[in-house]
Amino acid sequence: MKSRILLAVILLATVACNKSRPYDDVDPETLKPSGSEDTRPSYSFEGEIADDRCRFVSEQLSLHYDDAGIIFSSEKSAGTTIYRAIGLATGNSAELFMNETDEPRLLVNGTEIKIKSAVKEHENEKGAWIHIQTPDYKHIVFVVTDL
Amino acid sequence: MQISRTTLIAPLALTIILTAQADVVDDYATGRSGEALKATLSRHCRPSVAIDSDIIAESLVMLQDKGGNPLDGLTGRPLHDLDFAAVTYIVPLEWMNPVPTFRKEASTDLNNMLLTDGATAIDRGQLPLGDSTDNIDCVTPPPSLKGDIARAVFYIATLYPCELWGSWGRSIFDNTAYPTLRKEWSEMYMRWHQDDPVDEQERRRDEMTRTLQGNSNPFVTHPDLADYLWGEKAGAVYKPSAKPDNPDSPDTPGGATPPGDIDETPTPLRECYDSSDTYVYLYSPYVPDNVSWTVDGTPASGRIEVASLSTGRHELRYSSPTAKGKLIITVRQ
Repeated sequence: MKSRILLAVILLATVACNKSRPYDDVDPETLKPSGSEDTRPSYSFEGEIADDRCRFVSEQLSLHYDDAGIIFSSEKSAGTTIYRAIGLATGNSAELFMNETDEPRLLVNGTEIKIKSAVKEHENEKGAWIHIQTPDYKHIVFVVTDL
Repeated sequence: MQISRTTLIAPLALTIILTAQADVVDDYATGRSGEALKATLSRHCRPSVAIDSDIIAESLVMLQDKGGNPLDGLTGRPLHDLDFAAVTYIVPLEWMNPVPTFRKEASTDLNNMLLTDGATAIDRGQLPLGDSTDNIDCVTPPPSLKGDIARAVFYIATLYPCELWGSWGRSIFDNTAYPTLRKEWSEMYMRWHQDDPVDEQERRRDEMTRTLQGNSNPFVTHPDLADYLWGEKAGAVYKPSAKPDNPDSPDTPGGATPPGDIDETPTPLRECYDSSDTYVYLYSPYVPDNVSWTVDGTPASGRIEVASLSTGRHELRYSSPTAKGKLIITVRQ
């Protein structure tokens, strides 16, 4: 009988201890439902900068200068720089409009693609290495160099 | 339906767009084949104006820019009483219903419409226009209209390739981006196309259509295109025929002065050249006018003899104060 009373006391003490501990010192991250962690793999543009070949690489379309018949160009018009890659055999195209004041715009095969950002990660006298991110965190690489 | 020629001009005058249309087909389609060729036509040959549904019938009368009564588009007979005329779609809109992506655009496209006697339209219903087979009843137009209708079907298959076709459309079209037309049907329409080539009346209708809605049927202005998509040249790289088929719209790009012979038409730059090509023209619709060119680092202009280029890859560059670009072409034996 004594041992039963002792067990009840221990249990009550345990519950009392738990109740006395608020969640103040709990890391909120641990309170997120399981599976909601940001699982995006880290991304580095460094490798792209090391490669100075003209290219447009996205999930939807890839155009590489080394494949014949792809025009890579840049054009300046009224404060806007337009970078283009156009496949002559297919008509597939990528066009990026960048200027100081407006949001950048990307057109793939003539259709505007929603983008979150377009940043010149590197620029020199040879050209520009542009990192484009889409709202769903896809990465697009547009390198227009040596023109 | 009251249709009077004299009352047509006023309302239509507001919608008429007179635009000098460069030959977009030869500019953009050259060097492309199969699905890419079809996609190029789809991208560059679309109507720029939607015809108001209230004046579609009047517009169709206008397309028959000739004296006398307009002709029934299905029978070829004169339409004596326009009050009993009806508009019929060559490819019925109901076939596009399951996934109506293109239905709205196609519903105002004059290239898909015919003016016909009301009773004929009712008899036809949604039946396909074709040669009847054991499996399918068709409405068969007279031989003088078969080519016109075939070229309209090619146009619809190119501009409005539905993801899913309904009714008889399922028998004629598939849900691919190319070839879109099922083989037995493309073969039949190719026969119609060849046996009834484009004539002056069809050319005039096309020219008027372009005036009204801003686009031509590329299979009327460039009849050889159909062969590159569904005929013997299917899969081959499109090269414009030496002589433009439409004398009113010669294949000369706007603003460019053809080098050499004044009758010579420069073909746009493409990926690959071989011994069947005489020249590489330093011209592309994607490159601004008035740029300076280099070929493998040597200044060049106008055109280069293919024979003067060695087999292999060559780098072309262009520049102007505002634009710079480059590409590689290959020359084969």
